[in-house]
Amino acid sequence: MSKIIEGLYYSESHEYVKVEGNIGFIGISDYAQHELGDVVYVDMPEVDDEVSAGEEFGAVESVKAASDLISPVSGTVVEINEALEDEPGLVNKDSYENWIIKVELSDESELEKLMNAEAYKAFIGE
Amino acid sequence: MKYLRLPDNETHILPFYLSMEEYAAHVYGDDSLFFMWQVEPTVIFGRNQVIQNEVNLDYCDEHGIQYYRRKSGGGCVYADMGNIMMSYITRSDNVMTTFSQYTAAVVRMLKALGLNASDNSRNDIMIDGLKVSGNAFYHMPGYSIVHGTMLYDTHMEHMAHAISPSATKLESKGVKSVSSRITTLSQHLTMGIGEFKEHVVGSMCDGEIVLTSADVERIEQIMQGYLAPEFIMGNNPRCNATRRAYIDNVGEIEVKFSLAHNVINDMNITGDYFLLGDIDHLVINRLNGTPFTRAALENALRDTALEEIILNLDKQTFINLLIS
Repeated sequence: MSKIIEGLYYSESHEYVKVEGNIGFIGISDYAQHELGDVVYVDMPEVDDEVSAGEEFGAVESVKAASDLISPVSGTVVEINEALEDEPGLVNKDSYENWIIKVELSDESELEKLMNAEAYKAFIGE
Repeated sequence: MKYLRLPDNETHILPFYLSMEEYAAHVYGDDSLFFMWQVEPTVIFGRNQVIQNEVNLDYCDEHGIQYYRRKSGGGCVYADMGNIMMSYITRSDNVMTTFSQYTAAVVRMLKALGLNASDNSRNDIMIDGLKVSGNAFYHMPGYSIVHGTMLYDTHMEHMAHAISPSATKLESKGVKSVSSRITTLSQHLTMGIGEFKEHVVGSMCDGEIVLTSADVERIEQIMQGYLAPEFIMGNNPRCNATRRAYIDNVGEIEVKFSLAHNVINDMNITGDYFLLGDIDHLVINRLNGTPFTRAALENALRDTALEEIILNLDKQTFINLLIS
């Protein structure tokens, strides 16, 4: 059973957004990290890069596959999780604690198009 | 599974076929698709690999071997007309099952020829325990691409040199290749490469889709992304380099720098050489911000008389030190 946290927004491509003020913490769900297996590299954008909802912003590479990261929201990258550069496996340890990028949201209404915890749970069939 | 055919029999460059996978996934993605392709000598390295650590760039340039980055994960591979590349495109989202179903189908296809084939946990396919095929995975929302090698026969000397750089490794968290002992199908089969490919199609596919010349044009547009230097070199993971040497009549010299998107920064030069000129302005400032390629280094230092800055230091020797 994958861990799903209440209060976060989830996308069909298995990214989550945790919102604090106008900042979104974006990472991959526990289900996604489990599907991918041991993560060996996280390809992240740069601070100040723009990300757009539905567009690729990087990738997570595991021992099995490289999987595109799709941004669930639009905005400006204000921070990347540099700890993942040295220890990408943190994503496997706790994918919610170890977010990938922090984005200043440019359109909060985009959050309404995402799933809540309950809907995501149904989406992954758990 | 449908076999995907091009409207002509031309040999394209490697990124064309990677683009063909992406295009087919978007346009014909309702069926599982499969196709084979061969290229002139080319090295293809993984999405998150440091090119200088995986590819012997000088050897490749000398021998006309091309090199490209792909979007799937994993390690570095040499391909030529004897290495049959296989691409499998499916809507399946589950990485584990997609991989195992595909490799199982390839193993069945090889076993049907009487070969002692098996797969391993790295998604390699082996004959008598030696690797004949390596496979990599690129997952996008809604579909997956698995592609891999099938070594029929190859130019062993090119393979050995092209993917074994002699240069001191750059320190990086990028993905490293794993070397394996290999075998080739030609050592096990009497049939020719064409007959083998017919067997593959017969074993794996139950129909075909033929692309149009309009499809080919769209594929060529996607290919531009793969050809961009920002993708091939610029996607290099962050690295640090330390280059140290004793150079006759110059002395000890140590150069440290870091690379972000394959661009030099934070260069520092120390040593017991005899300094004659303004090394900060004429060397370091010119190299910081320069892409880490032999051509770009030569260009950045084209107006610098290095021996007038560090006594007896020849420009080519210095560039070789940085590259190596």
